[in-house]
Amino acid sequence: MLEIRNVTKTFGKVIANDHVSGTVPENQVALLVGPNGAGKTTLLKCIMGLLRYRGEIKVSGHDNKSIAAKRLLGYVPEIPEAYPLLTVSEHLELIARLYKIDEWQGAAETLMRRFDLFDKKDKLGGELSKGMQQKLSICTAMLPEPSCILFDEPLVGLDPYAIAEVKLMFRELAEDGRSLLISTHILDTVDDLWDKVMIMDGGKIVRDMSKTKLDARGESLEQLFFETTKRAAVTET
Amino acid sequence: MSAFLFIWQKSLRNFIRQLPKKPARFILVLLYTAFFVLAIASVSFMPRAESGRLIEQANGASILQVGWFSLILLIGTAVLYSGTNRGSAVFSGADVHFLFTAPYRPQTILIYGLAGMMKSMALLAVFLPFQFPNLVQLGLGLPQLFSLIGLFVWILICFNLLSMVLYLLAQNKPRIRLLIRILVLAVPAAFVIAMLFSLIQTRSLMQVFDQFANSPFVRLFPFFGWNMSVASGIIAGFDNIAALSVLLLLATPFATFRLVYRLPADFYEDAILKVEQQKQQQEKMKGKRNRQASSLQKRFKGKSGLRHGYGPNSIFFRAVREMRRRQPFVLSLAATILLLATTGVWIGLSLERETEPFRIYAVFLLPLIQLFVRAGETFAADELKRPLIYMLPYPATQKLFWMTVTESFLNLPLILPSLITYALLVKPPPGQFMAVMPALLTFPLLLTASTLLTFRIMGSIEGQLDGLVQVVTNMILILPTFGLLGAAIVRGIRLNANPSSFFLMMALAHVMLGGTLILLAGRSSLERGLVKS
Repeated sequence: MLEIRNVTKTFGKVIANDHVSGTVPENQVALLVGPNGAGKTTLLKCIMGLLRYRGEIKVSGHDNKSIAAKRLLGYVPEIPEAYPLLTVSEHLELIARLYKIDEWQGAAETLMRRFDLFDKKDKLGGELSKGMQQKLSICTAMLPEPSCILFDEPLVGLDPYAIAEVKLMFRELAEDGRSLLISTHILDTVDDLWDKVMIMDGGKIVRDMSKTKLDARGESLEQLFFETTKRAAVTET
Repeated sequence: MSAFLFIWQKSLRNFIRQLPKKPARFILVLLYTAFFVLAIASVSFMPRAESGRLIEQANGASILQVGWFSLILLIGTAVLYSGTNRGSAVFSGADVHFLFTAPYRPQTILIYGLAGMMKSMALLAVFLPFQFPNLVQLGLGLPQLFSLIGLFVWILICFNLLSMVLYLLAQNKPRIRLLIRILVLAVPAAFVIAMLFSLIQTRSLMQVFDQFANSPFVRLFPFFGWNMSVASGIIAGFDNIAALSVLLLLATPFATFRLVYRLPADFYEDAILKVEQQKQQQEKMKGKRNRQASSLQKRFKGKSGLRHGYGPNSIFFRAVREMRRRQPFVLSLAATILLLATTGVWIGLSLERETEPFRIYAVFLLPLIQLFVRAGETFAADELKRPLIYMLPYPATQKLFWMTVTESFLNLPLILPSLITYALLVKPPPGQFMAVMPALLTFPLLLTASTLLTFRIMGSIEGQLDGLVQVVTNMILILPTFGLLGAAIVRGIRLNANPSSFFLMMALAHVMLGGTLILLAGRSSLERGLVKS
């Protein structure tokens, strides 16, 4: 369970997050959507304890900057980064060492095979394409089996096979009792996956709604998004 | 900690494994190793005639101690000053991704980052053996030389840990940061002022060195003084203060390490912002590259004339305009420091009659050192990171010519004020002064050549390794300059003859060596373009 209470983050005079509050219960996939510059990535970084902020963030009751919370958190950043002189399999070994995971080889191999990285396990990080780095980033985030995982634009740069695989993984993770918070601004790629949505605009959460409620209203996520952010949808003629 | 060691161990192994696939790098590593082995071997074979020549002279040990103190004062001040913004400089994007999110205390991650930085600094210590032959001639034996290297590495570790403490104290507190910066700069300033006062009183440089090296206050001054006391113990034998200093220096890393773990650390944001800034810069460059490709010819056929440039010389005029905007005052900070330092040294030298023959070398060496210190910030290095230089529709030779002219021109505000002040203060023989000028003004050619050579070998000019290669290249390229300077000193001081011809030869060597390398390395680099983007 992830709880965000009154989080405010400023960069100089710019307010990136303005008194943001929300929760992601266990077993649920929450979407964090919003236009460019809404403050989604900043909020995810605050949750990961990477930025200074005012407010409170708890992961299963632990302060998000504590070591206990970090063991429970997983993060797939928007822009993947790899060590240029470590191979794909060495990145996974590094994660196993950092999180003190025994018997990691089997799980690492499964992840590499799932994301088509196994035949590239001896390739250096510096030789990987953007898409490959993104896949590696997902594998490394999954290896410690975190109970709460944050995805920042996880589908950008992936090929259609990998997108299908990631979507399947989201479902499996949610069924496995994990909390997922997925930040995106591409609505149609996640339409059938989520349990609740938080719409951000101008640094604030302007709408927090469950899928059941939206379905009851007979609206699509896209309609809700445009209605909430007060921007006109581009319609096909 | 095993995870952090794992990163270094595997990165090093993979770097070595990659070497056969990258011949230019491989050759450089071989050359580097050969130089290192030769430097050590040369000491073993060198006859130590009249052993202890300098250190057995009246002031010999003091000169060495003050020289060592000055070196550590310079490096230590730079390291401590950089500590006030350290958190933003030592981490990579991958560190942010993998380590900042891992279940570790920020202090542990900070120590990992610092250790990585110290690793690069320790690599710099391997350049010390290049000075072994000279130091042996001064009378030092191999055990003393290795002890000095050990002390150098240890003091670097101490200063890096101290700088981390300063960073933790200053984080998110701009006023405390400013105060720390002032204090850090006040230490060397106080020492220089004290030495100048002492020099005015005694009118003997040697006496000042003696007083300085034997003053209990200086010898017990935290870190800098302790370092000099230990060095004096290594050079001339240990006394009580030297022994105490050994204990204090041994205790420093442990005490600071403890302090680092106790202080609150909140540096992730600074580090992330820095990494993101660098990334945005790269992206911006890529975007610019595409936009500029279409409108390039039109832009460069805009205004013409002396003040705007036309064709390839637009590179020069753009650089001048950028410099004017970046640096609205005639004197930059570096030029002001150089001017103050040279004025101080000249005043010091002019107080003693016997220093007269040395003055011309001081006027040459001070700007040279300043240029050398800034060797990593050449115009060429800046330009090679931008896409424009590769896309300009002109022959590579023309672009290289204007890059070189620009480099020399941009260095004028740094060199000229101190040279003019020197001419007004000391009134040197015009012939000698006129010979020093071209030698200094052509020196930037070597810096441009070294930048282009590094770029040609490494394919980029931004990483730590690139910086290290550039330092090695600089050191190799500067050898003829120092050889001719040595010859000029012998001619001027030992033979009491005019050394001007050697300064003119130096200028010629700069033009020939620099020019050839610029053409060879620069042409292929500009035609090949950015390898890593």
